[in-house]
Amino acid sequence: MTRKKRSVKYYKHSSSLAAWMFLLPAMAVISVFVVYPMFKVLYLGFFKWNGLSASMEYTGLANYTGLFYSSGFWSILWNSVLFTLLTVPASFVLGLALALGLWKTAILKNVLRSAFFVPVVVSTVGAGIVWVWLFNYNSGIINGILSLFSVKPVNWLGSEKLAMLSVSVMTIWKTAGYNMVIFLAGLHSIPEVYYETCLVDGVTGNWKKFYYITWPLLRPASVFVAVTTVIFSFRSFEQIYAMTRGGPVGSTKILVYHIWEQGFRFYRMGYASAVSVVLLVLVLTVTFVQFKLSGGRDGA
Amino acid sequence: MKKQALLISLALVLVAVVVINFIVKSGKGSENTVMFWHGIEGREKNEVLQRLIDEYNKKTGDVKIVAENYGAADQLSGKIMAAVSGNTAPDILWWAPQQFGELARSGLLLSLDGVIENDSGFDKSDIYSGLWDASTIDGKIYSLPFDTNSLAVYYNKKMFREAGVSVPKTWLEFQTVAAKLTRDSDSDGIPEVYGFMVPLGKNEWTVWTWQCFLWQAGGEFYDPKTNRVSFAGGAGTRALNYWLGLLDKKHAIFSENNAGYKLTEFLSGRVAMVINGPWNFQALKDQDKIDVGSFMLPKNRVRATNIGGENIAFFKKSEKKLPQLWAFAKYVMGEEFQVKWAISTGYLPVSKKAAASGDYQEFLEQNPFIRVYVDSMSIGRVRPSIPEYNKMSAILGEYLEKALYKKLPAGEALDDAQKKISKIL
Repeated sequence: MTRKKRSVKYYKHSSSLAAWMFLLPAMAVISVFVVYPMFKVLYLGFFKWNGLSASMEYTGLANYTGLFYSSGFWSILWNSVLFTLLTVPASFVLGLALALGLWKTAILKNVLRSAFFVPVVVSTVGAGIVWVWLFNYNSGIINGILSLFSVKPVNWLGSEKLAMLSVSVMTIWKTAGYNMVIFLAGLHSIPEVYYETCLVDGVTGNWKKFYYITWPLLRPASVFVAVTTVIFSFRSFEQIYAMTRGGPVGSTKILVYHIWEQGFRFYRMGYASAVSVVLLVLVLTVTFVQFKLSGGRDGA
Repeated sequence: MKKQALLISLALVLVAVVVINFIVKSGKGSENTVMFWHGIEGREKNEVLQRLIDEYNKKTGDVKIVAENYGAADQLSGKIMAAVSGNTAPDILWWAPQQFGELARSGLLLSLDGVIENDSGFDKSDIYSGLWDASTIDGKIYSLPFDTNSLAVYYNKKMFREAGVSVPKTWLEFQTVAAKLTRDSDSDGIPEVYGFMVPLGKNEWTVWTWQCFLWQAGGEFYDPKTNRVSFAGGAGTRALNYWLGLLDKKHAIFSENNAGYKLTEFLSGRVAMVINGPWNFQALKDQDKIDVGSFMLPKNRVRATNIGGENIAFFKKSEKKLPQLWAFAKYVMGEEFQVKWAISTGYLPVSKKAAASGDYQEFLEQNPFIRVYVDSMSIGRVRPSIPEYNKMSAILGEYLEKALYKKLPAGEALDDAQKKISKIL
């Protein structure tokens, strides 16, 4: 049996060819659905275009200047920041609390873990519709329960002061389970031996253990959760669409809803693209800052 | 080596599958089929439509109308944009006539004045003239009436009997009736039953219903001749304050935000009167909780209601099929289709002949609930079908909401809205 001797280079080349071939479909999909649209949005931001017409009018930076001079845009930007501030820390803490609670519990562990994870799997629009019923002023279950304690009905979604809070509550409910799973994975990767060392060194009390061992070793999970929830929060749209349509009096109008409304309701594709670019820059900046604060990329 | 070849060919197959799939998909549709996109809601209505289209297809033979439901109408604009750029737009599109403005001005729709005038077999005057106004964009007809409706008031008959009140005809009577229907038996300041429900939210429903009150108060919304809006001022302020007055006295409740059309409060007996359209009539018949009647919107200076409904338009890329498209449109606007469609869906006929036909009159005899809406057609006005309408409505909606939330006094809110709208016209 004779075997042709191949050079190392040949093998390297041929296996990388196969790898490239396998990557090709994924790359094609990503270029068509992610890379191309991203550049197209950047491009469209310089035009006045209704999304339908064959002709577009080049307007330079007009979309961007218009946006920065409109008071509406700043209040929408603030709403997005407020929404993030209301949802991210709460969802982070709740996710961590759930993970710690279910980490070593034996009773009903899997049942409870699944129960808290279910909201993540449910479609946001569907969940939004359910929460609209729960929050209903006249016949919602939340006001029903409150009335048992003689509390007057609260207009959860119809009041401009409470609507943002109500939408945030739903969002926290929806995202905490996801954070819980990430934290659980992080917790399970901490070697038991560290806790045993604690006993030897005389460190007792759950709080001290958490502070000296669990929290520092959970850092990769924490950074991941913080970064992804901030991104998800800035990208939120479905719950606003399903629950408030940005109202009342614009109090829950956040960036992505604004983009949708301008682009698809008012046919202002150029302007909507400009807002999208601003959103992209904003999210990139915030993510960058988060990485910096958490001590570099190795954190994730 | 064999393994490498296998892997490479596997990857190639994968790519090929994706590419072929795209090619097959894009080749859909042919010369003999006519794609008809619509967003008709409800299983029963869709079945009726399919049956009527099947009948038509059987009769004509040479062309096949294929109906496809596009789902929620407020998500349609994005689908249209994608379809237009991918050249997969349908031949016929069913949508609210106010939505066609942007498409028409972008040069995507066929103007239909020529085909209407040249067809001596078509009687344009058989269709209500208000519907032609709604079909006209920049002086040209771009869409054809498919179905229509108007607004009136639903009332809970049992509550009317118990309160000893009869159907109100004027704003003043309406106010009194609403007060008598409101019940707060435990006197905690929160009535268990409200007389009326004011639509809340900045969406089209609020604007659509408010325009009725504006017209009733003697105001005008828009003048196509001067391209100006004129809803601010005395009449508009009166209309908005009328709603605010009912709310202040707690004789009316706010609807769920952006959902003034929902019947939850009415059907649960929390509200005795709501403004709504004829299209729920089947659902109202099927529920056995509440005995529902309807009456015309009350008058102030004049009587008025707002005409709604949907039209069909043809895409310019289907110009070659125009004879077939026009034949189908004539079938849809004709007596036979209109009577069957109206009887089984609760939509009102667009054709006067259909409305006067024996079958339909008999139906009205049995369903006085619908007759109110047919009668209301004579006092109906329409919203302008200009591309700016969406934006106009959104601005007005925003300011109506501000007034309803007491952020601004009614008069000031309307002034601000009018100024803002004038800027985009």
